[in-house]
Amino acid sequence: MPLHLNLYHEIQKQQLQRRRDPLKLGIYAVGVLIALLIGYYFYRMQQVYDVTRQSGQLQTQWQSLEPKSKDAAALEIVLTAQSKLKETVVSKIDYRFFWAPMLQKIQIAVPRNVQITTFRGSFEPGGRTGAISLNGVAAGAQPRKVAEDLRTALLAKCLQSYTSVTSNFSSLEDSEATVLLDGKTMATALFSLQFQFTVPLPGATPSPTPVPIK
Amino acid sequence: MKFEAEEIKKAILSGIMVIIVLYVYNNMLLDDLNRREQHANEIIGSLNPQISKAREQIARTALLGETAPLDNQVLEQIKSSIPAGEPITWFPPRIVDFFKRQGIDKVAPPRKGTEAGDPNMPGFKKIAWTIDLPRTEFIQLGIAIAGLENEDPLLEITGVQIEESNDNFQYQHATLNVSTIVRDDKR
Repeated sequence: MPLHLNLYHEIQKQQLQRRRDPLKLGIYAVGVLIALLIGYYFYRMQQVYDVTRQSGQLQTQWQSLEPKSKDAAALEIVLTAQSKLKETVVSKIDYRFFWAPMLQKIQIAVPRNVQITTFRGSFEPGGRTGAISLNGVAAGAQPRKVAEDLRTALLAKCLQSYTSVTSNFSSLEDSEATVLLDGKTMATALFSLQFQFTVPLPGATPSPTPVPIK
Repeated sequence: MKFEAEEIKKAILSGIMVIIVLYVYNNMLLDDLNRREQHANEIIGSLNPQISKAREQIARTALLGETAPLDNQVLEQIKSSIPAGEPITWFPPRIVDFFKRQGIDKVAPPRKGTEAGDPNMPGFKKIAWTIDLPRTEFIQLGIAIAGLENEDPLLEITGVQIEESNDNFQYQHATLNVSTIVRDDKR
């Protein structure tokens, strides 16, 4: 085997040492790392810039909207109060109880052999319930039945327009007095009738309370 | 491969350098960005609902504003139907005139009753009156009441009393309790 002398072994060793110099490798690694970090930093900076710009736009928008919103809130209070006032006044006008139709019902229901001596009616202001009372004299062969007929006739009339109608005699007494009607002398009874009723709200139909059978 | 002491030192030095670079990068650069982003996100988070609410408020008011002229017109109409001045000066003559027009001549001037404001009706108040009709007929009275209820929408009859007239059985004595809505200039 021929003898082989490497006269460059020291140079080669130095070259090898330079190639695997940890400091140099470390510097390279740090360089790459710094490049990556700088890239990431710019990427994040762009993201933050977008968010900041959005927040700035919202702030500008809010600065212009806030006074308008405050003015609108103040105006809303005024307009709501005005609308509520109008609703209240109009509802008071619309939901009044009209007495003329009630008087008409009484006029139609009272037969000629009954005389009403006193009529009293009241209606709760702003409410839906009312009451009437009728005092009178009923004349006939059976004056009590005449009074009862008046009560049922008036009840039927009231049920056409009102709900929860109740009626009762607070008094019904035979009278010693007699009356002359159509040439006949008839017995009389004094009665006092009470009615309570509720006026349905517009649109509501009266409850189908059955009329008592005579 | 075996490292020499010099190389180990250099490797440690390189590691320290990397740690320093990362520390500086994180604390001085990224942290600042994160703080700015967080601050901006907080602003966005708080402003978004406020802006939505403000828009809703403006839209709601605009919607109310559409019906407001009509409401105002109705209120002005109602107000203009109420004569100016104290009701005691104009209401009794108006009622007496009305019943006379209906053919009921005997009318006592209405007596003023209670006067009350309504918290739901600022600018208005209610006055109760008693109207005495000493001599009337039932049918005539019914027609007059119908006319009164139709002619004066601000008037509400709260009570009616009809009795036999003491002096003449042909006639009745009627008493009406009414309530009127009038302007309340003090409110």
